[in-house]
Amino acid sequence: MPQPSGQVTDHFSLAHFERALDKFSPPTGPFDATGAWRNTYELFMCIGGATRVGSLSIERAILGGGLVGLGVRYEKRAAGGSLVCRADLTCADDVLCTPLSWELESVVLDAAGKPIEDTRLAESASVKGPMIEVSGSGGARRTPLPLPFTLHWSLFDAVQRLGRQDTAETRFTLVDRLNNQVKPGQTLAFRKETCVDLGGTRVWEEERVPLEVGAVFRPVETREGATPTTLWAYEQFGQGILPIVYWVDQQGRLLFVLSGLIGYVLTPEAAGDDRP
Amino acid sequence: MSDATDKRPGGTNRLTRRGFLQTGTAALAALGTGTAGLGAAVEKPPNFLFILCDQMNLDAMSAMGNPHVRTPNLDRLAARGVTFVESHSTNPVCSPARSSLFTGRMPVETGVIVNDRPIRPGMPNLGQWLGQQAGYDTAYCGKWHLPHGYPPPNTAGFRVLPSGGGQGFADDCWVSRTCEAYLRNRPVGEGAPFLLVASFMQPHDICYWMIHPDTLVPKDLPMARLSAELPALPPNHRSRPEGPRQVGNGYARFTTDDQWRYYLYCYYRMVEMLDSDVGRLLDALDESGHRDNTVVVFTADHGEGAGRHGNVQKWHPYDESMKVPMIWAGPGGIREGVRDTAHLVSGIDLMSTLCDYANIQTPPKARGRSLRPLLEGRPVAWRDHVVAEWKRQGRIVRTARHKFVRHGDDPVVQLFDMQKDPWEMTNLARDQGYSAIIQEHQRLLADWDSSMQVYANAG
Repeated sequence: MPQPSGQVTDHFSLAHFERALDKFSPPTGPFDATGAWRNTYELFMCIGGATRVGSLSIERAILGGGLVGLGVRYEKRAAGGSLVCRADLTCADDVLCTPLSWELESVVLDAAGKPIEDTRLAESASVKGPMIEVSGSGGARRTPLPLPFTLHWSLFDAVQRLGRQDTAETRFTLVDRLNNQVKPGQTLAFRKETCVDLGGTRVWEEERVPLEVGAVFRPVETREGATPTTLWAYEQFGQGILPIVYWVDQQGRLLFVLSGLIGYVLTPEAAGDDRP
Repeated sequence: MSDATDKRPGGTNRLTRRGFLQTGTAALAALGTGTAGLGAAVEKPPNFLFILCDQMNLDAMSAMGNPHVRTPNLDRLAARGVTFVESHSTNPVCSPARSSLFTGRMPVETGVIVNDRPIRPGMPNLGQWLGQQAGYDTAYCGKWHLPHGYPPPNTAGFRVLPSGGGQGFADDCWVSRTCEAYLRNRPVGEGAPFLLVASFMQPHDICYWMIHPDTLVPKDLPMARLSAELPALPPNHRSRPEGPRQVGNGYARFTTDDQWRYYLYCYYRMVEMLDSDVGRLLDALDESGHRDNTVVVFTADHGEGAGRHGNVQKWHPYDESMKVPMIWAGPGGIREGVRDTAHLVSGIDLMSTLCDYANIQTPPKARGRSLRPLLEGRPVAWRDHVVAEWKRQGRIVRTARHKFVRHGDDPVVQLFDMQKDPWEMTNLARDQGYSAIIQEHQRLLADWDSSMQVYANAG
């Protein structure tokens, strides 16, 4: 059962990203994780404050025949330029949204937004049995991998459809960031259900603390106009990753992906609206 | 010092490769080098892929027997090359150590004795030197910190490839992807040789686990699921040998062993992230065809406390902070699968080694020695000590058996027997039986200090 509404600091991952979540308002409206949708996230780096450093957009399409498509657009920004990636994945409509093939292109843009051509990479990949075959810029390779497996971006889809009743682990191999680097020994499991206040305005009030003689007043943070929101947390551990916490709302919509210093926060744009 | 050709403290090569070739076979015999490298002098020099990471322990690799981390890519690099176990940073802080890697000089000479300082004016960096003296195409991607964290576009000596500007978790994949593209898009065997520096931030992100313990290393961690994965604490975790006041510790604000163990768990995951990005580069090197003519070197600027002596981060004179991985692999006679435990090497040696392979002289007053004879298994008389700096006035001299530590005029010094006490838990300095050893190490330090061309503005 949901716990009473609490501070956004309910879980250590939420506490670390409190500033990134400060102005977040939970989306309303229906959401069907098994259908077609588009989620756009802002990428935050939190090392004290919260700095916007990029964005990620994932669009899911039903392809029929037990297949789904994921269209990924990723941008990481910095003062001297930006890295942009575009990937189109064809995946099995299964628990891990297992990729079957994908096309990926990336390029670095200079500060003026102009592509730096020798940083451009384009590759095609397909999965044949326990093997990824990748071809593209500068050669081809075949990489064996323990099954089942999935990609980081596929998990943004998969966690929206995972169960919330038990904490049984899903075990798999991660192919990280489409770089063909295999990270076995991953586990993903439901961890907890909680209710936190999201959105609204941060307000500081004074709380009277009685002493033996007299009293003192201490500041207490509350939120006005906040929306109590029930969230489910899924945790991923494994080789080559810091613990990742996926926060999903009651509709099954993935709101936050928080790991170490990096957090993805769902933006109001699209906000998981159902798409035809 | 037993090398007849080299009388300077630390064993700097007076005779560079070009000079060596000019002096003929007599010098060849005198140096004890074979003829294997001679043919390379008339061939196109190799490309260099210099992979630099930040804050990595020497033993944070599965190839070094560490059971808590899995580094298949660093392991395969080690399998195809030479790994130095007695590899020392010149100063266990980012900017000072990097200034040595990129100049072959000690931090007191580069003027970079603390973070965020530029290299002394007029002192060439690796990119400038290889570009000017050997016509290399030089490219840099990733963390720089001399003085800027990431290199501005007009950084001397390098074409700068944009690479983010944040922390490792966010930007190292950008660095590796950009460097991968550089390798895959560059035609093999055409044009000038290249020097590509891929400078990763990881596992430096661990610094923030110390800065924000309440939210990154909380007490209510999901230990049940991770308990089997959390590393054991190191045997010297609670050891606090007497030492100069500046040795210090206590930066960490963890209150439980599980917090420490989770800190280590996260550190090793960051190393694995780095390993993945290194793997991307090695794959690109293999598949692009550049591997056959590219010397690869992997090292770090400094280590990480990792709970040893109760420490986090760096700055300390202990091995967890001072010793760094150094792996060399490549064509032209570099041995494969060799772990060198005998030779004391230092960050200042990188410049000399690359100059040797490029068939050019080292910059004037470069302090390092070429590792090439060691890499290729040729007999060579080697230095018998290395010196490092720490915290402005701190000095360390490491000989085969002992390690001596002092800081300025602090009357408390440290002496460790590194064979009997590799975890540096017993300070022998007050034991009268070691007074002669201490005096000898003090003499080595005095000689070394007197040979330095200290930059007046170093502070």
